[in-house]
This record gives sequence, structure tokens and C-alpha cells, in this order.
Amino acid sequence: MNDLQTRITEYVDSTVPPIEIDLLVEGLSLDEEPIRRLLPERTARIWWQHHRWAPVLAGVVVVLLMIGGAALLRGPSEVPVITTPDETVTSTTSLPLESAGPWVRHELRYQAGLGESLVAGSITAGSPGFVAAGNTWTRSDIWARGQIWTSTDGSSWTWVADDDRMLFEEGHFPEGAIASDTALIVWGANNRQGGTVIWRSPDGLTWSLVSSDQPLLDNEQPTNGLALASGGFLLYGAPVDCIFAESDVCTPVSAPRLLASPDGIGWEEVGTPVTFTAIVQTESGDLLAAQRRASEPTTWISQDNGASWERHGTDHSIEVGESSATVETMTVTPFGLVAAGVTAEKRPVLWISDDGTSFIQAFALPRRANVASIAHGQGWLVAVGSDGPDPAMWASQNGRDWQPVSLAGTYLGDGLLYDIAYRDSIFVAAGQHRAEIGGEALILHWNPDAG
Amino acid sequence: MTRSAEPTAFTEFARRIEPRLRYALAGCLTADLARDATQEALVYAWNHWDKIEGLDNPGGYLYTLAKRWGWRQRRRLLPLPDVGVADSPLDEPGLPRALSHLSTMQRQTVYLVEGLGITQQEVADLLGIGRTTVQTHLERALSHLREELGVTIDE
Repeated sequence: MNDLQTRITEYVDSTVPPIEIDLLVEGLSLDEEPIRRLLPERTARIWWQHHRWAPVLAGVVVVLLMIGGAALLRGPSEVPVITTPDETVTSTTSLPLESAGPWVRHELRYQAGLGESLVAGSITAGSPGFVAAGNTWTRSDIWARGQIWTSTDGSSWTWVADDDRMLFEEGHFPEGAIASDTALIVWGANNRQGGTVIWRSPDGLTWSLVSSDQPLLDNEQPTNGLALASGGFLLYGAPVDCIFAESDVCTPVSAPRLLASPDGIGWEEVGTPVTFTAIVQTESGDLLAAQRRASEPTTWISQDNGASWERHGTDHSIEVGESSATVETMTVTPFGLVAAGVTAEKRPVLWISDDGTSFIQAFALPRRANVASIAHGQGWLVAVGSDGPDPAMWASQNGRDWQPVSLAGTYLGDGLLYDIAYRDSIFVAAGQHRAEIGGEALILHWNPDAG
Repeated sequence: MTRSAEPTAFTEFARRIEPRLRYALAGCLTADLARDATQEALVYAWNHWDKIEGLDNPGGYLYTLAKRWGWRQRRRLLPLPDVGVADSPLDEPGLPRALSHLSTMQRQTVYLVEGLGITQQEVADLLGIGRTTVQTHLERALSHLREELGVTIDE
């Protein structure tokens, strides 16, 4: 496929034909009735249904206005802005350090019942060992199928069978995993019906689907992440909600959400002042959260397991102008708080902070690079992600000096790394690469002690 | 109903924003709902032109509006989306099914960046997500497509 743009355009235009603007404007310039005639028959039917239920809708409007008003009181809505195209950024040269590797690749492909292509989208490490979550698909499937694998040593992996599909329903798409002392949690999206879905295991062996009929964050907007707190777990995101101020037309408002759970099973709403992109727990037990869209990396702090938040670091402005810095992942390390994201100048970078109040840019990543996850152990920091179409990894022994890690010989073709975890002297990175036949989950393993 | 838009100004705006809305909505709604929602958003823009014209990011605003409208209709009227599985006389017959295996965000970024050719930052503004998030979704999507179609995609 040498011209993807042509084929995508051909496909979208054939399935969703363009609207003829001239005809639309001509109709709009007339009275209200011709406007309705321009709408497709089904749309017109929906309008009629709404009008027939006007008294009910009026009640919904009142309730949603109250919700919207409360949202406005909590903080300003986040209005996207148009910004300039990316600029070219060259990586800084880091100081010499030991080589992080070699990394060893492990196979997940030949487990019974798995599809033609595999993706390991996330990985975490808890007391039972490593847990990788991802999905598989075959050419005959409409939806990808969720999968979970476990490993005690990062090298041999066990597939969590789901033959009767009690665990993963159609459209379930695992996106992240996290481990506490008492439970392993995988979260993901329901691509078929919207909302966030949670899976839970006490031991890594037996898993259950927590939310199905009543998905959390009931919206198509993706959940940003799941964080550990002393009292359990926090799920955070920013679904967009509606105010129905005029008939049945939605006026969108940003509605940052934060849900808390002591056990990963029961979830309840707690307040959040802004949209958070990452939340980490410090050694003292406080929670630090990164704010979406600020002129510089900006954090909030909670000392009561997420029940209340105060602005903590760097930037006190709400208006961010035409560009903003975004922290996309953070990790508490012995060297400080290490974060990855994009500067207001649109440079992908790694930052370091002593206390979460001010951030120093430690490393400018290549222009097309993206860091998805950072882990630390044995005096090493390892960041994984992508650099264009290729998996990419960077390592540091102080959080300030970083250098790329060679993955030569560990994968067969294009691919990406999505997540990394550390446990018992072992780093395990998870992702996906192109194999000779179909795709294959990419699991890389490194033991610093093994030299 | 208020109608304050000048046809020329609105037409110019609508011509520019229509494909972006349609492509973004094609990634998260069924085909007919995507077109309905796009038209719904444009009608809304006409009727509220004074408000829309003054927004920093009218495209992002209308996308959010249209998406929510479409999702509400989808939940009421349709059991599930059929994005990407319709028969299509394409040179690449595996493309619809391969696209259907992507997540919603992955499909939207492929449509907008690879199909429509707009920048990742413009996609980020339209969808209300970060630029690197767009990049992540795009790279993952292209990786999926490479694998499933067994082909090389030009960078």
C-alpha cells in the first residue's frame, strides 16, 4: 500500500460521502422548515421524537444545567486552541554511561487459542509477578479480543484463558495495568459501547470483569490513567459532558473526572479541580498529579488520598495561549520525580524535579519520539516508547543524563513499546512489532545483575 | 431561531471544517450517523454563528458537539457501530476490516492525519487531546495496519 492517504480518503469518502456545502447553505438561508428537509430522514425522525418528549427533556436540561454550573464553579473549561506546526528538535547529547542491556525478546505468540496478531499494550509488576495486558485479533474478527498474560520471572509467560468470554466482551480493549499490595487491576476502553472497563485479580491467576453494564467514566473520551493511592486506586480522565440549554442540542463542557476505589471493585466520584494526565504517589504517601494544559509542567498535590487537591507547582496561569506543556507520564524515583511529555514549544522531553514544584528539562527527545512509560530499579531509569515507527528506549543512571538504548536483534521489524515495569532485579518492557506472519507482542527482558 | 451568519463567511468556514468533522466522526460513529452528525454540527454553527465565529477553536467545539449528538443517537437507535466492515470497491480489500480492528482514537487519527493530511497538532486541537497522544495513537494504528495488511506504508 504505497499511498495510504489516497486509500484512506477513498474509503472514508465512499462510506461517509461529503456534504454539499452549497446546497446546505442554500437550505439554511431559507426558513426553518427547509432546514429540516435537508436533514436525513432518520435525523428528522429523531427531532420529532425529541419534541414529543419535550417535557422530559426540559427536566433533563434543568438537571444538566445544575451539573454544568457545578462544573463551571470547579474550574474553567479547557478550550482547545489552534497552534503552529511542529518544529524540528535535535536530541541533546548525553554523558557516557553504562550500556543498558542486552535486552532479550520473549514469545507470546504460540499460546493456544490466540489470534493471528498480538499486542502487549501494558505491563505492571506486583507481588504475584508481572502482568501484561493487550489484545489479539484474527482476520475474521470484527473486534480485537482482550488478553492477559502473567509471568513470575519476566521470561516465561502464562496466558489467562478466557474460552467462555466471561472476562473480555466484544469491543473490550485493555489499555493499562497497575498493581497494589492486594490486587492487580487492568483498565481499558469499551470500544463498542463506550466507557471504561476494569478487570481485577487478587493473585494474577484468577481474574474478574468488574464493570460491564455500568461502565465507569461513561463516555467515549478515553480514561487518562489509573493510579495507586494509600486507600486504593484512582481513575482519572476528562469526559466531555453536555448542557442542553437549547432544545436537544448539546453544548459541550469539559468535565474532568476522578473516581476512587478502595479495592478496585466499588468506585465513587471524588472531586477534581482540573484534568489530570498523570498521578503518582510519593514516598510520603502524598499524591502528585500533573495538570493538562499549562504553560509549564504544573502539578497538584493531595494529602488525603485524592479527596482534595491544592495547586503545587510551577504555573498558576489558566490561560495557556496558543500552546501548552503536557506531562504525559511521571514516575517517582530515587533521583527525583521524572516526567515525560511535551513542552509549550512542542518538544518531546524528559523532565526531572526534586519535589514536584519545579521541573528541569533533562533531555530533549528526537522530534518524532514519544515516551509512554518510565520504570526504575537497580540504580537505572528506563524510558520506553517510540521514535517514529520504531520501538525506542532511553536509559539513565541519574535522571539527568539519558542515552538511547540499542534494541538491535530484539525485534524483527517496525513496532512500538507501550509500557515498562521493574520487579526483583528485572525490567520487562511490552509492546508490539511486526513479525514475519502477522503481528506479535513484543516482550523485552533485561536483568541488570546479569551484566 | 437566530440566523446571523453571512452565507459567504459561513460557507467558507463550512467548506474548511466539513471534511475534518466528517473524517473525525467517521472514526467513532457509524457511517450514516457520522454524516448526520456532521450536518447537525454545521446547522448548529449556522444558527449560532455569532458564538461559533468568536471561538478560539470552533472546529473542536463543533466536533465535541457532533460526537455527543451522534453517541446519544447511537445508544438510542443502533446496536453497534459498523465502521470499517462495509463492502467497498477498494484496491485494498483488507483495509476496511483492518481499520475496524483499531481503537476509536487510532482510527480517527489515521483518518485525519493519513487520510486528510492535516497536522498532528490540528488533530489534537480538533479531538481535544495532546499532540503526543495523537502521535501515539497514530503510530499504534499504523503499526496495526502494517501487520494486518502485511504491507509497507510510506512514511
